[in-house]
Amino acid sequence: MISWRRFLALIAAILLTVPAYGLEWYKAYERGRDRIKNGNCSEGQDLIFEALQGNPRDDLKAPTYGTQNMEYFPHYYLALCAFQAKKGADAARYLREAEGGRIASSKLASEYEAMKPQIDAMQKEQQQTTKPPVQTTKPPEEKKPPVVVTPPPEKKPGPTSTVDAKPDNALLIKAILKQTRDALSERRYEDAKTYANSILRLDPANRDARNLLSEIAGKQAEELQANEKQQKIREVQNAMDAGNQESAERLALALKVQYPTDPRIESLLKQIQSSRNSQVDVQKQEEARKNVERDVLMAYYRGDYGQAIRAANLGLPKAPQSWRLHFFLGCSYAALSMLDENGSEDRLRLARESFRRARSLSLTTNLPPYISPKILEIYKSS
Amino acid sequence: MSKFLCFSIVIVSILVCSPLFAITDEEIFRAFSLNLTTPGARAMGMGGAFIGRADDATAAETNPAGLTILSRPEVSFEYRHRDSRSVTTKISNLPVENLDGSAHVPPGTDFALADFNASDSLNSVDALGFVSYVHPFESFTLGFSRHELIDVEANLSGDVTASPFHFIEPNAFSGSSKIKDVNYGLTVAGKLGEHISLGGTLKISDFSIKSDIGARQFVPGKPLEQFGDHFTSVYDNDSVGVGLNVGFLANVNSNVSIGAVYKYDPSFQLKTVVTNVDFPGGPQVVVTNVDFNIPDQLGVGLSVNAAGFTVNFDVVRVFYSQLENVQAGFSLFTHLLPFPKDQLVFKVDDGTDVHVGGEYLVRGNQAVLAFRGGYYRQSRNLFYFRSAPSAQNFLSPIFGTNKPSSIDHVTVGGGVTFSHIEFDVAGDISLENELVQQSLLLNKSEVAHRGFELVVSSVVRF
Repeated sequence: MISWRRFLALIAAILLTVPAYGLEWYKAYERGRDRIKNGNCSEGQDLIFEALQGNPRDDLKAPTYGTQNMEYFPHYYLALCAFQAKKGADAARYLREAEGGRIASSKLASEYEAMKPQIDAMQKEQQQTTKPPVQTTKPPEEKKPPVVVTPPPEKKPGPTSTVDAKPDNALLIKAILKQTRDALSERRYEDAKTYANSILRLDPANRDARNLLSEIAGKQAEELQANEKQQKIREVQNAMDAGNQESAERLALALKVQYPTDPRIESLLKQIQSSRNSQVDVQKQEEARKNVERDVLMAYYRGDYGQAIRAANLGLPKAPQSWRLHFFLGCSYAALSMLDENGSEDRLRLARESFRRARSLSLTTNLPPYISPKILEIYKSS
Repeated sequence: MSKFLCFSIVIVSILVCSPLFAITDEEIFRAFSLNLTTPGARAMGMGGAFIGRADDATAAETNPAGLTILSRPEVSFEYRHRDSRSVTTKISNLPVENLDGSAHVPPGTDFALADFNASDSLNSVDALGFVSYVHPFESFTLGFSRHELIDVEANLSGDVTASPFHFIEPNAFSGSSKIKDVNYGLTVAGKLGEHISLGGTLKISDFSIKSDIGARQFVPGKPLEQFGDHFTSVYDNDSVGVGLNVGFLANVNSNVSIGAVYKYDPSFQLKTVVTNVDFPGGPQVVVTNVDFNIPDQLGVGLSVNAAGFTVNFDVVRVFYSQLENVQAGFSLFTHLLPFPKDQLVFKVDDGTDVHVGGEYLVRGNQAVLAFRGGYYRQSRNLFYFRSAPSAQNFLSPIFGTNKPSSIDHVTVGGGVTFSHIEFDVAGDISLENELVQQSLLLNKSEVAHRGFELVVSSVVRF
């Protein structure tokens, strides 16, 4: 098995010997830029092209890694190389790409301002000496913005094709009014609104249409309120069904404030109150049972068996179904029967009776700790 | 021969014959939680989720492979402030049965219901948590870092109104413990192909522990507050070990990256000195060694970014079970119980931490503003009770019998980057965690109180 030292050495060796291929675009850009600045355009251009594959757009604030930005103008450096190679057209094209990235606002602005007229002059000169000009690489054409012809706004048709926006179309308005009322009576409020609005487009002062719109709005609000109320009542009922009486009561009280006269809400509140009362009763009973059991157990474990018997007999009417009370009552009788020979038989009989009752209430095998094995024998044989 | 003499002979034989019986203990190691959070306020602001991103100098610790992303030399600093945090435990009606087999046990002292109270508190910490320098070369990246993996000072105290091992008498313990582990790392990272990066950090761990815990018992006529009246347990160790982080990072495309890291941390041999101070005839001393193995971690992370927004998600498995070797088979409350080491068993389970967070960057003309938020679910390295030949009913409620619940953290942070300098700040609020256990007689309440941590960090790029 390889030791971890050898493994570490192997990793280090691999990392030191592998070439740095697959550079991130910003690393390729920085290296290419440095090479070009040092006059090595052939290597620099390759790196810049590699950067452009990862990020093709010049940018004044190109995000790199972490929270970092960088001024990224790969086309500027390509323009520089093209200029040095006396390729005026290429240089001009690259420079335009850099301008698109707002190079004029960057730290390269002064260099750019100095280089631009020289490139322009070189391009002009090359165009004049070569007629017709031969472009090795065609600069991208500037796209003219399309002429947008805005058509006149179309008149929207109404809900029926019979609508026409003529000023004195009383018959048409009357017909649409009828459609509006029909839609309203069928509770198609959206249709009704559309009809009424189309009337107002024909006759903005039409009082009937305005009244109808108010009526529609009122009906919609009424319906919405009714739905909300129904939904809230359902929520109350769901909370009650889930046994979450507290939440049900909170919701119902909120409803009561909103709809003080609704008999359904009154009835719900009564149901909740009744259910909560019964819950409280159950809790009280449970609490009482626990208190009694605690008293008996504490007395038993303190060794005060007489007190344990008294507490158990006092508590059993309150919690007759508590197997623990019967069990510890049995244990107490059994303990006393062993400690005191007077009345031993009677106590043993009472112990067995209590144990039988305990077993009839619970068949648990998980008995409380620290019970004498002799008492457990009595319990098991009862 | 008097009964007391018999008893003394038993105790002498326990202390002299068996070096396993020392008060080293789960109580000491359960009181502190390891600081396994990711260094740097940027990562912390994102809930500590950074394995899949790892794109600044803190990657030397988080995921060394991420250092290949860096194009310039960087220096990073992190200042960390942690508020004090505490865990309080209260148990009432704890059943106590006298397990001392001596014949001199007075009648009527064979059973009691006891109350138990304990408090473990971690002191506040202000420290330079992380420093690193990273230098990218043409074909690889080199980094140097210093990271405080553990820096905790804990105070422990507890008492029980009756103990099964001391004739139903009151018993208590208190003391303090300070543990520090600083890693000095050398990182090498490089690319293996267009999309894959690998990195490794060799760590020299400088570990120290100072701990002084005393158990005291009821002595007729003496106040209970007298510290060290009975047993003391002392650690004072400095040690150096070697660890290793190995990381992997893959850029699936320009928007998605995934990372993985394995952090191996060393194990240290700790010497503990236990003294029975009030032993008749003069103090009895036992010296024993235990292993303290700093848990290893295996993490995987995913990072997705688009339109200035980044979401990171990490899952980290922490091998806390490696800590189990600190057991000497003895706890402060069992110090008179002749249990062999392999019979009194405490457990600590491996845990899974989940980190999720996001970062939104607003790129202005002069600066980049960052807004961050995250969530972190931290598993806990608490020991819990597994088994003992007897006294289960006493020990189970104190230590619990199940893996402790995790702690939830919410983090927020922000940062600003001017040119080559980045400042970040992050806050981590750990929410209160309460465990309540009730049965007919016994009531237990254990509260891990809310904590707060503030991290300020800076990265300078050259």
